[in-house]
Amino acid sequence: MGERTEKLIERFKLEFERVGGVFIMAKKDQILPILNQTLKVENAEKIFVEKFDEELSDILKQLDAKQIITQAHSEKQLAEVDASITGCDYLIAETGTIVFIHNEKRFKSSILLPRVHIVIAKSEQIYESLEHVFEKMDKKFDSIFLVTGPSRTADIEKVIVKGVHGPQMVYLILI
Amino acid sequence: MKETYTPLRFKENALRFIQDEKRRANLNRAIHHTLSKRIEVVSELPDWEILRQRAHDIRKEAIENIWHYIEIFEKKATENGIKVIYASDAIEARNQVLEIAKRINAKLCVKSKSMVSEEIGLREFLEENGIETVETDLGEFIVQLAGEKPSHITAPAMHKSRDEIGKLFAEKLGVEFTSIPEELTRIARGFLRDKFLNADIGISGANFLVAETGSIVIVENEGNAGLSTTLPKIHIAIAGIEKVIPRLSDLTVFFKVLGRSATAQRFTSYVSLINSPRGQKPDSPEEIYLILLDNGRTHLLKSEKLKEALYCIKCGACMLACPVYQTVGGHSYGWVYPGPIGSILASAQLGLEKATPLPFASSLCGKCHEICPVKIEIHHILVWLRHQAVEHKRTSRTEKLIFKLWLFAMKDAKIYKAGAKLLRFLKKIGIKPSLKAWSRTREFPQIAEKSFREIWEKELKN
Ligand code: SF4
Repeated sequence: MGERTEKLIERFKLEFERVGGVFIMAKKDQILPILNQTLKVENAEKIFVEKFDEELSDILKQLDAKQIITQAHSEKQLAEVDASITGCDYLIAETGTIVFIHNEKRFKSSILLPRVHIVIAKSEQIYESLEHVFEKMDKKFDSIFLVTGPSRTADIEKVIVKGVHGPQMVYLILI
Repeated sequence: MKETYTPLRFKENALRFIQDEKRRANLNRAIHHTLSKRIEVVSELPDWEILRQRAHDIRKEAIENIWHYIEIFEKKATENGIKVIYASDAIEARNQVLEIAKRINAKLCVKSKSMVSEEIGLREFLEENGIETVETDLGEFIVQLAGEKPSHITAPAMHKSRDEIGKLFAEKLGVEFTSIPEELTRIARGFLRDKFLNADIGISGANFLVAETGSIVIVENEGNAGLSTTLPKIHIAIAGIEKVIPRLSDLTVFFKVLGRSATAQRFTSYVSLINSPRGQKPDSPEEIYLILLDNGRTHLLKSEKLKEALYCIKCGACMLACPVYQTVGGHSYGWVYPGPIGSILASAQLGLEKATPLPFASSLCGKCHEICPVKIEIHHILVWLRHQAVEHKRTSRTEKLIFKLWLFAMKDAKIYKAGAKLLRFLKKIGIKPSLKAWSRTREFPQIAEKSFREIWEKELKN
């Protein structure tokens, strides 16, 4: 890993944790135990897993969960899920933001409905700022969703509460 | 709409609020909290002033060429499959929404936060027409349950305490009383989940419309806008025509200033850039409508002075910073957009005859301009509006007489001196000027024994 990438990761971690996210660095063979432990801590039994590349898919098949859904037929089904595990398209170091391009394989509701959201990302997906991501991205993109930490509100006496309509916890596992 | 909800009642509403110490305390706590956090996140950006200028310049470019950019936006969005509709006023916009709702026989709408829909009274209208319409932003939901109106554009329930909200939930939702914010939020989440999953239509506003890509951009924290615009079959977004910005990259500037100004955040939790309906995606509405609302905005565009008010990105910072808003609260203004910028918009959109008190409800201290992320010269526009009000005889005869006398005295040193002497003489013999409206809430300043001129002449000059 280059020094530049390392710096970007450090910045991302700082910002992501500042907004209440949980950041975990992992090697490929550590993913499974980390995921299993996270699901246990979060008491998540029913999980949704997005389509990943073959290697990751094979790992995710061995997850320790009561029920694993890989093909959601409806949003109602996603609403009953405790945790979702998805990929992402870019990471923005400057703000700790995760960028999702809403395409054929991605349920936007899988990012929002479950109480826990776990994102698996690769270090080459990290960019310094949104400007850089916009430059890099095809201008003919479909819809985009930017997520910076868990869902939150300060509508009651300015007290910050997490997990209003979206997830209460967002984990990012960086390979 | 409640009869009292008009700018013409500003004075009596303000007076009532000032006397309500509990409400004032709620409001001031919330304001103080946000402003002090804002300073923290603004001061860490060394180029804040450059950013503000950049944001101002982009908004200026957009408004000066508004029809050009709207045309590009419409072309792009239409290509992407979004149906763009124009509405010249509130009635037209409401009917367009109703027509869509009737066509699909909609029973339930979920709404995310949108000031423009408040502006056109959309929720009330849909409910009158038998379509259940639920606010899903927590603050808006609280305000809807209470049968009130938002008191601030980004923090609609900031005038309410946790106890009040707990009582409200217990009464309206039949849950056990709690005043713990986490618990209250969980109750709302559970109640609204059901609504999200069963809604036929999702209604949203828009923070920006990007001409270059035809994107509808929605910024939020709770995830309710994301859900409202993803789960139902139909999404209707309503936006004022001024929301257009030229380029995708412009967003990077606005994201930096908007979150910091609105909620003292470096970046809001969620941003949706919506480009197209479902298509090949596994979820998303099958149809997306965008209603572009005029409702008096072209009137603002025509005036060189008022145009600048359309640069506003509705962050709400000028309200928090305004000493008048801090004292009278958002409801006193009697108009969807309260505070300094609201006074301008009300005057332009309702007409001066219906909004006259508002341009005068300012100390002209300029705090609003100082804090505004797009650098609108709000206080100058307010002075200009006052001028218009005077020209159009919207001020009382007594006020005019006072100012005539004032002008007469100020123009001539001799007359001024004589006037000051007269006042001191009156004081000596015990006659006090009776200015009740002014002195009811403040101490009347004492007239000095000797004038500065006298002291200067006799004691200081040498
Ligand atoms: S006028 Fe400026 S400070 Fe006030 S709401 Fe609009 S953008 Fe924010």
